Amino acid sequence: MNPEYDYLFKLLLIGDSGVGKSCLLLRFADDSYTESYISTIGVDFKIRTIELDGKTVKLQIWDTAGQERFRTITSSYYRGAHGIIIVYDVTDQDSFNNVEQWIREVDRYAAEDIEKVLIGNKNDLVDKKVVDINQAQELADSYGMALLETSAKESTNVEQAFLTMARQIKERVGNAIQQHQQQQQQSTVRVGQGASVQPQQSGGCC
Amino acid sequence: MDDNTTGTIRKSFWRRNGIKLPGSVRIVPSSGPSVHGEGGGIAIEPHLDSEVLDARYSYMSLVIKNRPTASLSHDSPSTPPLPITEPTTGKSPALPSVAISNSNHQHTKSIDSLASSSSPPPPPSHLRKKSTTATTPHKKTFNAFLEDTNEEWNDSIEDNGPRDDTTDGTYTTTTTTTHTTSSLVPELEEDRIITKLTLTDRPPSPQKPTTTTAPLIPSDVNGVIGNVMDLLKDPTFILRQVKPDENAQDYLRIKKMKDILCSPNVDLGKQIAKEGRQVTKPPSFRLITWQLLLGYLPCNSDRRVETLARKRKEYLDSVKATYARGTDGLDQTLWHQIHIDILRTNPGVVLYQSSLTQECLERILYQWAIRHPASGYVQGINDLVTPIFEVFLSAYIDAKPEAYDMTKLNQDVLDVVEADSFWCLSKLLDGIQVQP
Repeated sequence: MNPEYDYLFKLLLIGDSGVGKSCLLLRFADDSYTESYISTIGVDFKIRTIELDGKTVKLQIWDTAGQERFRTITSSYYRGAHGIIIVYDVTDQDSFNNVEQWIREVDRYAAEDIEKVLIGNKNDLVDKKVVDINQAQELADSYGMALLETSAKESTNVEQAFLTMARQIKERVGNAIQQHQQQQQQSTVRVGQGASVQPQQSGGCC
Repeated sequence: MDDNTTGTIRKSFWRRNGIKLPGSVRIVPSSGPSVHGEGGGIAIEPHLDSEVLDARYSYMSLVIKNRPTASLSHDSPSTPPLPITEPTTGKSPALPSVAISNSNHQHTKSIDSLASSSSPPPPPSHLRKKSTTATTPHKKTFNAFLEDTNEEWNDSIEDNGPRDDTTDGTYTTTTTTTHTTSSLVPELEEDRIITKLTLTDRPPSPQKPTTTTAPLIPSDVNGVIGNVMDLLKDPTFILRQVKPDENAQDYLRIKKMKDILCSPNVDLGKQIAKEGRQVTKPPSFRLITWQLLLGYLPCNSDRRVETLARKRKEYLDSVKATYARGTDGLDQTLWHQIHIDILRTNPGVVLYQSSLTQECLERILYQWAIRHPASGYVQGINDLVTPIFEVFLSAYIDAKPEAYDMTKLNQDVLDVVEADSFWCLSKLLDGIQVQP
């Protein structure tokens, strides 16, 4: 039992190449931004610990390469994730059109009923914005996802996006743990809090 | 490699072949004793026939044709500067006449005699030695010769063809590349791109020999080094200008590296990698070492000018065809992926923020991707091409490449850097691709 945190959530960032997944992560984990971040090769991850409703939650966020070529590698990271953040670029219609394709990837590889959040990044580029928020909201609703428009550059909504994700997982997990604990208590076995929550057995590498 | 290019080569090979027919005017002096001028050539003609019989090329004829090429590529420093205007009449008293007179009448002996004859004359001592080594490889066995030229068999033949007129005993003419290239231009279409530039950019007078003796290569206002056009044709050209400072700490190391690279048939053994790692100046050393080790620059110095010109033309033609309709004609998914990656390649470095650099790298990656459909462009390859690009660029400019303003760079230099980078990236990736 690690005393440093109450929960460990594994999040996964997916989406087309160049939509700003790495920049979102950089902003959230290191609170910094660079205009031209290097392209991600394979996968990368960063960690940030947050306080959520009095609990210490450690977020282990996996950042994936967007290029189709890496799909075989990145898809193997879906399984161990607790939540998946699908990112598109509000200035790039194609990246939005591909969101459904990304959702299919999630359905295929990730755990059932996994928490998903849709993020429209680069919202600071107002002049270049082409993806209508209503259209995006419609899509998000149809898949039961929350939608947030963010700007990694101006640090708008980034924090909220990740916190939304964490809260959703915590609620689901909290319920699960409660149920679990009740079951455990009935069998008079106590389970301490702080265990990494794994809805499904992960075959992850870490 | 490409059907298209081999086709062109073959075509021009036959087209040019006529020039080298044994009976042609040009070939006569080439086999004859230049001392007597063209008249002497006739005297030697039967001699040649008797050896060659009916074959168009015998081993000896190839060797003899090759010899001047070797000296050609090492020409400038090894021979004193001579104006073109006196090819046959104005014999320099030093090496040329001696070499000629010895190699004249006996083809069979010509190689050995040349090698030995080059020592007796009293020429610029250490420079002279190089010309000797330049000719030594031809003492090899025929098999060794075959091995060396196997890959570029046609090329080496045609490459040497037009130079026959300089082969002829008139060693003096070979000292001025100006003369050689001018005769090459109309005949060697493959060389067109490069040689034409060489001609236009070079001053009309035979300046080259004098500039090569200058200890320093002056750079122009744009930071492009002097003699860049010679360097473009054959990067090893620079080697002859490098005079290691005897007092320098790494004098021995630089000298050793220079000796390795100057060899007419560079040995790609352990030495070159070991020494190459240590010697970083001048930047051309690294360029040459990388190109040699990647198998792009031919080890055989005779084949370099032609091979490079052909490879560069192949690449540039291919790009031209690909971009015939601008970027709209490209595979948009592929191009978009490359484009967004190039935009974020080495952010913060001036060189890579230049649109000229970015477009250049995009073309390289796009060409590579469409030529390797099984793999296609993979994110990260953009970071593999940049070191190659930078090292090659640094050899042609007298400035820090990372801060260099690409708009100052001559288009010809950029073309060469781009084409060479493409081929070397290909060589590099071919070596690390996992076999399916």
